[in-house]
Amino acid sequence: MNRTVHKTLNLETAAIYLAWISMISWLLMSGKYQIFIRQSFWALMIWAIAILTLFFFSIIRRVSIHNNPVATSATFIRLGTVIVPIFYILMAQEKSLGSYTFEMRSTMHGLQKSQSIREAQGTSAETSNAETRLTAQDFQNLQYAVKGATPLPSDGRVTILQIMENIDNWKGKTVIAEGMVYRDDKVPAGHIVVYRFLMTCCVADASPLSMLVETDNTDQFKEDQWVRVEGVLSLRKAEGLDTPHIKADRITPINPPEDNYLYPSFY
Amino acid sequence: MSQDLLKPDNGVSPPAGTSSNGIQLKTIIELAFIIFALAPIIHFRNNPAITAFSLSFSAIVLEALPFLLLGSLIGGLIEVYIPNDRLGAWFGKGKKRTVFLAAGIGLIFPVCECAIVPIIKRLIDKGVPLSSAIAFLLGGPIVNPIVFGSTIVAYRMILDVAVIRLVVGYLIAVFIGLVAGHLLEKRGGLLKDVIITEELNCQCSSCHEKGSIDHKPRFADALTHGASDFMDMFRYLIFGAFVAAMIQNIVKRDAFIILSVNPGISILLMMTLAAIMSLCSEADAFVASSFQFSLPLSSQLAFMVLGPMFDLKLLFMSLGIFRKRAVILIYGMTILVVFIIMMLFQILMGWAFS
Repeated sequence: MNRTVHKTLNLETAAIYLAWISMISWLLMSGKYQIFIRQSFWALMIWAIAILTLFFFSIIRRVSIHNNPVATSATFIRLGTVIVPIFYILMAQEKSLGSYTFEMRSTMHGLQKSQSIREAQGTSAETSNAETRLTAQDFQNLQYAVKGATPLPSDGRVTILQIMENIDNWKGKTVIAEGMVYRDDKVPAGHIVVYRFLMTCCVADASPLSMLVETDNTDQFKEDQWVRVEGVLSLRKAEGLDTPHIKADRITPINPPEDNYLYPSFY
Repeated sequence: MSQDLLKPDNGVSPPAGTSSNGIQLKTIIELAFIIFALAPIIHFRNNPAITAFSLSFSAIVLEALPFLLLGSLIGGLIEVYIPNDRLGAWFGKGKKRTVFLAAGIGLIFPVCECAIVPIIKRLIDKGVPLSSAIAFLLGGPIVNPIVFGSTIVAYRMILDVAVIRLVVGYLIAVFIGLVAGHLLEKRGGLLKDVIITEELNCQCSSCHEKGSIDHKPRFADALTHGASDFMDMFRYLIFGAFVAAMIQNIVKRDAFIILSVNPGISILLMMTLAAIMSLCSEADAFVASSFQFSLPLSSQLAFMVLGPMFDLKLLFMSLGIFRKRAVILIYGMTILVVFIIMMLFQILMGWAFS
């Protein structure tokens, strides 16, 4: 009888390994892993499948060996914990980060506030950041700055990241950029925010990159709707900070791109 | 430190899964976790906060999984292919200078924080002194060429930040390794049930013939050990990722920035952020660099130095090896030392640029 119980435990564990192997294989083959981690990390998925498979066979091998531990309800509960992420992955695989995360992770409002506090205290950001000797004003336009300017593509199509990287180079020129719409009462009247997330490794580290878009038709865009914006790029003050600004000639609703995220070009 | 560090919190009683004395508190907590974790999927699946949480939680687990698997596999290989006490002899029990070596081993054996915990477990089991193991636990994920390279790139080829990060990380790992190792080696830092579970569950020829010199280690046995370690650690990774993702989606980053006007508070908040975000040590420099024009360098370094040494997922995973008191001692000291060093750094930089 014990032997039957032992086999059940090992088969249960093997089933969990199999579930994870199937889940990751499916994420890899469908390309849906990109919803969670960086596109170029496909090798990590193969690596995980390979080791999980080895472990799976080692568990199967144990089914025929004596001295297995006795399975109890506690064991099954422990094993149940391990499948919780599978349910979350299945639930999240059709979704993407949106304005909720933009609000949670955007630091622009905080930067403006902290600058105001410093000014009220009589200490400039420059003093507080003595070792960097840079001001919070520089944050938005220099955040992902790369030395050296790249020529504007002939069709003007750029990403928000490219705008951030070369804003001085492209100021005053007509650009075409895509992103999601964000609206709230902090956004200046007659404007919407168009944003995308910059991902280094995974969704957990994704940070929003945003620009202000001036338009007469702010009401016609829904939050998190994907749009293509065409207009002249400039720098404007928003909440006291220099922010990329596009005076839109045209805003067109578009389908979400295949890959929602932008990636640092140097990594 | 009281003597009851010696008393296993749950090590005396048989591990869950082998107990016949009813359901343990740990099991009840795990059951509660499953119910608590699955309830939002059923009731609030279209809520934007739950969506954001699901994505973050899944992403942390998926990104950490390959590294945890690799660490478990390496741990299994160490268990089977390295003879008992060989590592203990190499590291020389009681010889404090090996702590200096252990803290820098990541330079030739790069390993991230997700992979390191199962490796540490096996190294201790093989007789590596606790002080050296702790130094490797803390130093491995930061004193590491990949982390060094990613920091250089994130800070746009400015070498200084990467060098400071590596040197400070190394020194802290050595210091904590020496002090915590000294305190814990006297009292026993390992959870007993890790060892008991291992003894009960293992059926491999390598372990059954531990006394034998002639046994032939087998790859299959290494896999058995690796699979066992993985299952143990994976649960802790899941708990850590769950809590990290939950806090990430409850606390606004803006709040951190607003409160960061004072450098001391700023350092503390960035350390808190590092613990909450539970980022991979190879990626955290990119997040830290996004604060470089808004927060002092000391705060950014606090984020980058503490993150690989301590975060929520690492905390939960460490609870799978060490007693609670040992975990509190190791990470409590780490947090304190990182804070003190970064405050000193802030003061020194203030003088240098005044």
